[in-house]
Amino acid sequence: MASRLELKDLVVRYGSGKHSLTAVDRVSLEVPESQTFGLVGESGCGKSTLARALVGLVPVISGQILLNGVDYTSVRSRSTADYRRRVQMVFQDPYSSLNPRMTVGRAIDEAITLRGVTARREKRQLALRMLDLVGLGEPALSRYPHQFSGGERQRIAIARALAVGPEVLITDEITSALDVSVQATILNLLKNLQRETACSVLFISHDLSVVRYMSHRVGVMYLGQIVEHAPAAELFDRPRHPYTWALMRSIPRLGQPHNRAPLTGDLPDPRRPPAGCRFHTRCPIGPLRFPERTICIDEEPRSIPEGQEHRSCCHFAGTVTQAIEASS
Amino acid sequence: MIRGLRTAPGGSIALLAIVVLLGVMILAPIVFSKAAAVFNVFDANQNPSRLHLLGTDGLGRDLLLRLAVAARLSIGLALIATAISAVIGSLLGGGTALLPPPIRAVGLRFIDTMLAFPALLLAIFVGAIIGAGAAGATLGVGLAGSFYIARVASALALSVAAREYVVAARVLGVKGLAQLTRYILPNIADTLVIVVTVAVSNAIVFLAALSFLGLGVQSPQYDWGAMLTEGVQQFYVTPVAAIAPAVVISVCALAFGLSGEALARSLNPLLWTGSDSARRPGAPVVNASREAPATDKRMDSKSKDVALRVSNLSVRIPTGGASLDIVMDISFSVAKGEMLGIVGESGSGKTTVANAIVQLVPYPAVVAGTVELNGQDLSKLTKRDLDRLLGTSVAVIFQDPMSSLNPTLRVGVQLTESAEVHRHIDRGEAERVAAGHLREVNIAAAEQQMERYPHEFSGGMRQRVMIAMGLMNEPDLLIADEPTTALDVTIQAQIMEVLRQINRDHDTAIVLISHNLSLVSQNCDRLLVMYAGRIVEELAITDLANALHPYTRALLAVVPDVSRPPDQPLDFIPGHAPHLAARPAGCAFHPRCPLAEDRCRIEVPPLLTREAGGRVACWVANKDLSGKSS
Repeated sequence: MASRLELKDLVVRYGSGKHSLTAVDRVSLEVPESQTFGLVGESGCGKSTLARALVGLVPVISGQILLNGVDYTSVRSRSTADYRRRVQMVFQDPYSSLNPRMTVGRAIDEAITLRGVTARREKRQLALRMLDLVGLGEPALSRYPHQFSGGERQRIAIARALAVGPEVLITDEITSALDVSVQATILNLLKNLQRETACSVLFISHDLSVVRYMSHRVGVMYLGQIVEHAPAAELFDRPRHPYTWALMRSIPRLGQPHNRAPLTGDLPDPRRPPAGCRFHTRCPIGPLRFPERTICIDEEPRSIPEGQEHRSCCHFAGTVTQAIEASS
Repeated sequence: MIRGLRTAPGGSIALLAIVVLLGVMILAPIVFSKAAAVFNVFDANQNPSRLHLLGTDGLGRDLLLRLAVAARLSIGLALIATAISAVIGSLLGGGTALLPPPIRAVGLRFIDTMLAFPALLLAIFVGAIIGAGAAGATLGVGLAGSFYIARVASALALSVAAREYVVAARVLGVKGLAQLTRYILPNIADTLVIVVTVAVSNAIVFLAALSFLGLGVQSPQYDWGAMLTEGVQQFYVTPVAAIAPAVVISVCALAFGLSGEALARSLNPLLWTGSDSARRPGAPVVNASREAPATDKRMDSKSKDVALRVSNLSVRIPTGGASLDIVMDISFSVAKGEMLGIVGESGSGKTTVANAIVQLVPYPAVVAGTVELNGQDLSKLTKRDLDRLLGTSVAVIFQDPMSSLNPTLRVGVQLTESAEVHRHIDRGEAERVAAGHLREVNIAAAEQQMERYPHEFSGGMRQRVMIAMGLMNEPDLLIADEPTTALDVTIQAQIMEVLRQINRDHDTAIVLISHNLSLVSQNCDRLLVMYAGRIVEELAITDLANALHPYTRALLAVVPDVSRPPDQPLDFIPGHAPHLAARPAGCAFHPRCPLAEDRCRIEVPPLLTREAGGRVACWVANKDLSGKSS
């Protein structure tokens, strides 16, 4: 079931007035049919809020959510059974995202019922197929979540979301609560499932290496905005935004000497994002380092295309690597 | 389910009492109602005798029989009243929690207001409107009790409604009522049952009180409360007539109250299935010779002074049957100025090792083995010297800095406190030192920051404050337990830079405990790999490529890497880390190990020192080693 999810200038705000927090600020992105869009960013960048808005848990202030070109911007339209059947989500923590008092069988059965299947035999067959898809067997049906390991629970959560038969699957940090040795099995599984079910995936994570493995296209978020997006290989080979570059430099890598911390300072208060370019307070090529670059403080950078698919929001896009090398 | 009832403390007694009470309640009116009604004025107001075990009332009726017959009305009405409370209360409370926030607030205030009204008064009020009598009293008590249950239910439901599985259900499109009955109520049921059983005992007392006031059960019917009323009038003639119903009311209330916890246990699937399935029959474990103590010259800390030496450390929790081994026979040392990494997955025991070093293993765990700090055996020190040594020579940084900072005290006070206690310096001097350390961990405007409270800092800043606090007494050893796990990668890079700088500038030995092998490999000199409570390999970071243990090699293979081509599937380790109670016999890694042989399934491999430095505990690797060395 191929489907295309499109966001246009999406704004999500919590609260109102002086204390309001614009968690998602004019985000536009597209998850193409049967592909994976990786959304990466640090805590507080708005990626989880975006996911919650997409499944109708949070209302949207402005902008558009389009599914195959059909508008689903109002919360009401995203609360309909029709939308829920088409867009599903898997949560971060498999220890808390499954009802401890419900057997796995009942949990999956519930999802299948919502899909509209009512015949008992058909339901059971479908449940078994879902479990089989995620590598679990029939005995799992009568067991409770606490009788499974973390990795198995995440499989169950995935099976449950897929049981609805979604066209778009949103996954929010689905491996960050798992041990490294198990993470890979879940990622491999999700990648295979995507090929098999042809659903489109919005893959949200703070972990660049995981995003790189999973995604066709990647967007990098900072303080509510997408600062760069490009096809995965392109983004990782030639990052153009200094924040993307800093994220990549910050990941500890096996067998390589440690880098100096590429960024100084903390994330600014998202309630009062810095003027101009939001990243200028920490930017390694911004006014901190080059005081003459006042444009970063004065003017918000527009999204600048480079080639067909690569866009970044930086006044000095593309000069990161040279600038750093020149100054060190 | 019955098992749960029996295992709860006091459960079996309460259960027995309730069975007896219910039996009496059902049978007594059938068998004794005639006999209890027989009156004989000549026997009026008798004290207990062989004929009338509890004496007689003003009309000469047998009190014991009357008490038994009255059980039906007393308990029966109380159960009906409680059922009313429970249904109204849980629906009202649980439902309120699911309402949109503004309406929810109104609902909660309504419940609070009704709760503020004394329950007995409310019951009297309702009873008076409907009319004095059993029906009015029961409804009144039921309604009065429902607000209490609603308040508890709403508080419980609110906490459950915020859980991810309820949010997940909402995303799935589960409707409001189904959310309440399938997700909220089952998860608050065990606590609610306790509340409800307490409500039964309250209802018994309230109904008795209403009857006592003449608003409850009306003559010729009678319940315990009515009997109490009559008995009190003759208190100086036949005190038993008042005491007996009072005792029965109390015992009955107590029995219902006590049975609550037992019932709650029986409702919790986590308690009646989990432990059994996790436990496996103890396979015979051949314990290999003790670990080779860390005596290898090269590994023993660059032959310099040893900051920390841990020998044969074991930590276990004695449970009912077999004890739970968390850490087993671990030995290692850290040199001054060295950075040692301890890597392992959840449940590997790495955090317990850190806690054992600073003597923070919580009761009832039992610790064996020795810990030496700067050559001093901690077990040989007096309590006072131990506190002094731990306070001044070791600092610990935990994963969640907020939980280790006192939210109600200014950061400055928390920073200076230990230095004032342990180093006997005055406040001003301590503040100067604190400001210096804050600058050292890259906190700008240190003096102003000391005036702030922990919640005013970001996660990264708090962790820096923790590190600065650790530095206050210039420790020789810093233990950092997952110090950056809760932080973003860009902040992690900053914190690691601070730790390296401290290690360099003060020659402080650092033990970095982490699940992140890349992080450890970039920052430490040496690495311990733990699996299921044991060290399986120790090696210098520079030797990482020559790791011998299959687990270490598997860990190296699964480390996520940006430069890996995304078209091949990721490597993974099959299975998952064992549960402590179900540790496989022999080498704990054997079910996941590609090289496992028969011996690995039976015998625990000893941790042997390698020729080239390092130690490894693996039968297969050691076989290769002995082959090479000969």
